Amino acid sequence: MSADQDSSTDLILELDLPEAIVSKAVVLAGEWAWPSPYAEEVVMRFQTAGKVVSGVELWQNQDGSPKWLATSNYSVDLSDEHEMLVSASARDALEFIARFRDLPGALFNF
Amino acid sequence: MQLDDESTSNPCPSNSGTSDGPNYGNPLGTTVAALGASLGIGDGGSYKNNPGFGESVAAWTVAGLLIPGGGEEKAGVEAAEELVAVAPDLENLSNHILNSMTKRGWSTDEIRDAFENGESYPATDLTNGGTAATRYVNPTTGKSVVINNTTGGVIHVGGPGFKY
Repeated sequence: MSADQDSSTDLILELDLPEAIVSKAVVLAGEWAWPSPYAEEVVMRFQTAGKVVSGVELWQNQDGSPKWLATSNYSVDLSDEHEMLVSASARDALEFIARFRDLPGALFNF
Repeated sequence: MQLDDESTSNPCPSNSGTSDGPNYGNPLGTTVAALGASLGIGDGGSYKNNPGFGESVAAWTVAGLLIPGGGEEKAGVEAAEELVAVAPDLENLSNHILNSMTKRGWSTDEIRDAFENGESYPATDLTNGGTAATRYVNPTTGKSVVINNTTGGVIHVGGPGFKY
């Protein structure tokens, strides 16, 4: 997988994810998504990097295309103190992932 | 509801019956939705905006399930409930949706165009307890936007190649 095949992962690329996580990404419609264990790791990377997870989408891989199933609905109030915002968004993103992690073929897109 | 089935949306925009679910006659001449699986009365089907309810409102009745031939049959739902798709709330787009719009090439005008002029399909907002939502397909781009029927909140904007 090369980064230049994907125009939608600028934020993900900024995380400088290790190859062990990048290699587990599934690229669908030019976007990256991960199975739950790796998605959780990506969220932690967001937090470590001091970046807000604005939301998460639940997908399944349907014949090489993303099948959208759900989107997280937690709110991100940019007026909040940044550190708190980073922490809260990571917590909420992890909760969303946990909610759907047992769905067969679940993939999480950021 | 099986998450991996097609009951939350129907890719077939035609009025003809599909294997995804029945379609029902409509005295107003437009397709009425087969009711969502979240209501426990069968698989979903396609429906279209009904001009009879106004330009920007799509609606269908749950309890008064229309059947082929123009008759009306109780659908097993005790309380009459009308689900009305409200216009997208473009003034309160979440940061996540704004980000998704940027990376998937959406404008607010395109969301509005999809809502007003696009084919529409029943969907489910799984994150909000399986509440009713509607997916609208932009007639120009072919991309889909999903809107909560109750709040008008934009739940999802899709990119090219997304499936539902």
